[in-house]
Amino acid sequence: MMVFRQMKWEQKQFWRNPPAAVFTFVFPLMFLLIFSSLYGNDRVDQLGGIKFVQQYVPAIVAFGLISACYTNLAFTLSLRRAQGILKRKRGTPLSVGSYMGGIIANVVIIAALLTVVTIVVGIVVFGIEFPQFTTRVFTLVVVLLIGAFCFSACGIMIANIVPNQEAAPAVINVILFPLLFISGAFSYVDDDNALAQVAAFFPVRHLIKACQSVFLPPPQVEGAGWEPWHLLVLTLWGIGATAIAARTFKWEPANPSAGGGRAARRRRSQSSEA
Amino acid sequence: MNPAISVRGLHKSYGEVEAVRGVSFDVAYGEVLALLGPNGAGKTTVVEILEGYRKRTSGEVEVLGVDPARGGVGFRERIGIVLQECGIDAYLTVREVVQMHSEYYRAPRAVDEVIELVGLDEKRTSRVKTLSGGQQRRLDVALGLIGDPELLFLDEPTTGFDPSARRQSWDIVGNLTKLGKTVLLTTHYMDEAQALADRVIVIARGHIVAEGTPADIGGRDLDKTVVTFAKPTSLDGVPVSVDVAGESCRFETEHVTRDLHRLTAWAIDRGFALDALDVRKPSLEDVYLRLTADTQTETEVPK
Repeated sequence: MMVFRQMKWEQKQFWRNPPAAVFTFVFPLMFLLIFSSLYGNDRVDQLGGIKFVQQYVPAIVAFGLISACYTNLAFTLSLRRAQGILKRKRGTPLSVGSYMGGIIANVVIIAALLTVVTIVVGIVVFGIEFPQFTTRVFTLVVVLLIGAFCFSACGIMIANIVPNQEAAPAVINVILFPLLFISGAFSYVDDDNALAQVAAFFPVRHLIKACQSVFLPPPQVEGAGWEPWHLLVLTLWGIGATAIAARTFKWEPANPSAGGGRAARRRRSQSSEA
Repeated sequence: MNPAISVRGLHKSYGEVEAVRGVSFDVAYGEVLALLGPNGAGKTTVVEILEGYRKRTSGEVEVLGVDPARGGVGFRERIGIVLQECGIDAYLTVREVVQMHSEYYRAPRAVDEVIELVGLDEKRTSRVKTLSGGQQRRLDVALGLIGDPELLFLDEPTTGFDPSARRQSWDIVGNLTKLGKTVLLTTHYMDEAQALADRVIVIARGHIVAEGTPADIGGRDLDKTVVTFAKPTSLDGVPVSVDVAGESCRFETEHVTRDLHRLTAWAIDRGFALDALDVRKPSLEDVYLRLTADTQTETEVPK
């Protein structure tokens, strides 16, 4: 119940902060439109000559989920920590589980919306197909839930190492963007590629591959499109990141002089009036 | 009845630095206690230990009969915390933030009533980020009160306020004490301690250096009263022994009523106006500066 209420407040806040909403929501869609317009009708020989966009829409579904869960959570939590909002919550009877649950439920909703929009745009604008929809939609839901678990945990873990508010965009994106590139979120990266082999150590590529598998028609992928290996890696990353996140979690700003610290009080005092 | 707060031999070290070095005090239910001291004296450390944010190095601490280090959710239901510097969810409105926080408590106060109590009625539908610093601070107080706490912690509630905003905040705290709430306040404003507190504890370098009511702390009640006035045309036959410095006359006395009566009777008799007549006890500020005189240069204690 408390989780649901907190989620409601998180939703409200998310949509009222246009820059953040744009960053999370519009960024993946923008990449989808740009790259699909450029290369949409190219054929990918390594995948039996299917259209580029057929494997690109699921890559963007993965990017969208990462954007909603990892990027959004890492930003939200590091910002709230720096501003002392986490510390304030800590002083109330709200339980950790309810608070984090509400925040995570919120990003999962955003991820779900983003997934639907991405797929609809893919079908309507770029004419992709959703092969064996009735069986594979279930696969997709499971893949995205495991992905949400993995990348939410990573987001919380990375938020813990962000030293201050000003450093947040750099830390969060410097970790993510190279991985997106080498994992095939912006172009097709074949398994044989050396970069793909580096990417295989990190969760991004595994989510992209698991999503792509759902959208690759027979004979490339038969049946429901399950990719147990990729899902296992995502789960292990999720468990590892959860353990590290829980051990390193801090309610208070690491450095009180940054953001929510004395500097903020000075700013506050300058603008104070009745 | 046990006190609301009981502290015995409290120590807190951050590595090599001893921020709190053996502090003991009690706060009775319904009492307003002010912890006074310069920056880095250990006030905030003491308060954050009582709130459950920090673990003590040693000593006994009981807040509402509970060890705050192991207080948990049940403990936090009963206390209200107004922290020194703490952000508020910026994209919600005043009413929404107070509403959200009220949902965290089992028996909260009415949302609109609390907003009114801190004087933010007109800002009810404004987003938090559009509030001025003073208004945000009052919202801080509202969030501290919404759970209807038995005990309220106020850490420097009016730092950075202009004088009229401070008066308004004092009225709010005054209202709380009428409701029988226990309040632990930290401040470095003497007038604030004087206006709000039943009792004052002065902390410097992690020690308690004085304790008492605002009226008698540091032997203030025993200090002599100082009377000054502009030098009249003649001091012939003045009934008290007066020091003259330039155009000003001054004397100290333990019997202020008697000596003032003699002085003014003499002045009326001679037709002197006694311009700039001033009668004053050393202010709490004077006492405070005396008590903490050698600690003002102390460096800030790390958090």
